[in-house]
Order: sequence, then C-alpha cells, then structure tokens
Amino acid sequence: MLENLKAGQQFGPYRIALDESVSDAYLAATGDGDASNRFQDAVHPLQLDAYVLSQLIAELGIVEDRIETVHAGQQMTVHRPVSSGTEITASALLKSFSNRRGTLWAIFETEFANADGETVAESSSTIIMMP
Amino acid sequence: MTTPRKKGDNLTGFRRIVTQERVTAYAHASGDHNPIHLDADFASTTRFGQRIAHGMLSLAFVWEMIAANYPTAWHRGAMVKTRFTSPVIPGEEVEVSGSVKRIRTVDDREFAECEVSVTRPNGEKALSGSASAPLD
Repeated sequence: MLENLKAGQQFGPYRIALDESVSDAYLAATGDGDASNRFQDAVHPLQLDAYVLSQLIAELGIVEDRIETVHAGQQMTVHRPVSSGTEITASALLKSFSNRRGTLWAIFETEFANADGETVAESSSTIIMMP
Repeated sequence: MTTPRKKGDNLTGFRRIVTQERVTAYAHASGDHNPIHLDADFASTTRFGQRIAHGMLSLAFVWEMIAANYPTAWHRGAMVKTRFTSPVIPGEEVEVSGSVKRIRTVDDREFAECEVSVTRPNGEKALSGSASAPLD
C-alpha cells in the first residue's frame, strides 16, 4: 500500500459520531478534569482529528504491518463546535509524499464537515514512516 | 483565570504525569493503537528503544491550556500548529506552557498569537509551536 501512495490521493470520507461516553473517555485519558466546564456538550476537536488519523493510518496498513511511524507535526483549526453524537464527515488528501532514502514523508490534509456541509474544522498531519 | 490578552502575558499552564496507563487509555479513546505506544517488545526494536506517548496526547495538553485560558471563544477560530520534536517517555512529568507573542486583528476579530510548548523533565521540548485564540 505505501509504495503506491501518490500526492493528490484522496482518503475517506470517514463518518464519525462520538457520543458523550466516548468523549468523556478521551477527556479522562488526557486528564482534563475541568473539561466539562469548557467543552460543555462539545466533542474535543482533537479527538475527531485523532480518530480520522487512526483510521487513515490503519487503512495504510501501518499498524497491521507494524511499520515504525513517527508523527512529526500537526496543525488544526476549529471553526465551529461539534456536539456529542453529531455526525461529522471527514475527507483527507495526501498533500505531499516523498521518499528520502527509504524514509517516507507524508502530509495529510483533512477537512471535517457537518451534515449541512459546513466546514467545522481543518487539520494537517505530517507522518514519517520507516518501512 | 485572567485571559492573557497582551504581548508578553504568560498563559496559565500546568504539569502532568504521562503514565503508561494514561497512554493506554488514550490509545483506546483515540483509536490509535500503534504498537510503538503499547507494545514494549515492538517498541524496543524502534529508534526509541522503548514505548513512547502519542504526540497527539501532548497536543491535547496544549489544547487544554488554550481552552482554559480562552474559554469563551476557543471553538470559533482557535488554531494550533506544532512540531513533535522529542518523544515523551511514559513515567515522565511534562510542563505545558505558553505566552502571547502578539495580538493580531483579522476581519475585526482580535486573536492572541501564542508560542506554546510541552517540555520534558530533561528540558527537551516534546512539542513546540504556535497557537492562536480569538479574544471575543
């Protein structure tokens, strides 16, 4: 799979709806004890991003093939809060891909949209893979 | 908590211990089950020689700091842009910090542009970068 990657390749769409218990598990894992005050019923935006990135990584066979991978950078912008249980559609684009002496560098750009088609968040992930 | 709204203001940060239990819980909550975070045998064969925490966990700490310092408007235009420069090893206590570098106006909205970091006990930056939060 990795050898066939090309810049411009599309991934998804991924449909995600994180209910309150899943959101709570994320906040408990990160240790954000006061989150209920700040996030109210909104899903943590990074949890959406992490979910999509995990699906993307799985789709590439990285976990199954136990390929050493380093997450080198991450960008995210939030435009609107997403309530727990709301379905979000995420679409990813392989923005750039290069092979540097056998080490693969990939930048994925992901857009998250609500049911009305409005962009609620955008992200960019830089992943280094050493197959 | 006073909102940091001028150049030089420090954000209220915090320290947090990143235990392997936290890393494992994060893997389940995020769906990221990469063995480099969970499998000690596999991790021993990597360049790090041991399990490492998810970079996104460190980023979640930064987001927590931004949301705490700018609680009213983080969800309408906040941005983070970071590099993961050194892995956090389970058991380490990290320091999450930030400061305002400048105030920028975009479309009549003011944003605090901040420098943010997560620092390991040995002084290395696990994460460094910038964040921007609306001051509405």
